[in-house]
Amino acid sequence: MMAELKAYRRKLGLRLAKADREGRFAQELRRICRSATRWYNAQIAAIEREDAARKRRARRATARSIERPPKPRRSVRTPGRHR
Amino acid sequence: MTKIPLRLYLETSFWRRLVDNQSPERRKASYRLYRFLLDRHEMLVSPLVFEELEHTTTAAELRPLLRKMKRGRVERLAQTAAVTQAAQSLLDEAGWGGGQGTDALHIAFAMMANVDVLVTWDAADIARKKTRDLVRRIARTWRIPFPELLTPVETLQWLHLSTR
Repeated sequence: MMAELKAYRRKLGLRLAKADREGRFAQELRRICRSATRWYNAQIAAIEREDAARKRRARRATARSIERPPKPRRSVRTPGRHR
Repeated sequence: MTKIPLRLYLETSFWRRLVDNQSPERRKASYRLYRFLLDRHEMLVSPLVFEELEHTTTAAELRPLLRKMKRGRVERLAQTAAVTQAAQSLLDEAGWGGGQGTDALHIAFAMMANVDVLVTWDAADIARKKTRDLVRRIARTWRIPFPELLTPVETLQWLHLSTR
């Protein structure tokens, strides 16, 4: 797991080093940060949507259980009593 | 008396360890620290953390991890000209190769945000004596406070908390 992170970090570092040699370090960094922030915002928005939908479903389920009276219990016939 | 909250920059490896099943000890230490910090201290992350998470985390790990970030109300640091300049100075001073540019950026984000601690599991490059000395020296030259570069276990010890 950490090896993956190290490998990606190295790749990113080399990309930035290349940009630095070409005199566009700040520009490249800004681009990376903007794209990463957009990705994070989209992920958080999706989580918030999921949570809101779950809450809505729970609220509806509660409302339904309050509105509907419980079904009357079916009487169970005991063979001996109703003969 | 009100306690002043500490500011901790939590680097990508810290977050990754929270959902890591390969190293239960490290996962436990990360959790212990995370739970201690919740609602007590300020957790900070940079867009670089998001960039690394996006490309190195599986979909199954990502949701619980992002929920933890959301729950921790992490402060998102912005990339500024000062951060860029600091990262470039760190790279020049340290003589690090291109591969370590990202480490320098994490440190630059932490330095410019005046954090107390940069928490990382990367003891090979960041939380080591050579890097700590370099950061201290540069911070003294720039006359800014320097962050401690610690692993979660060292951070727990630094906070006088049990590591088990």
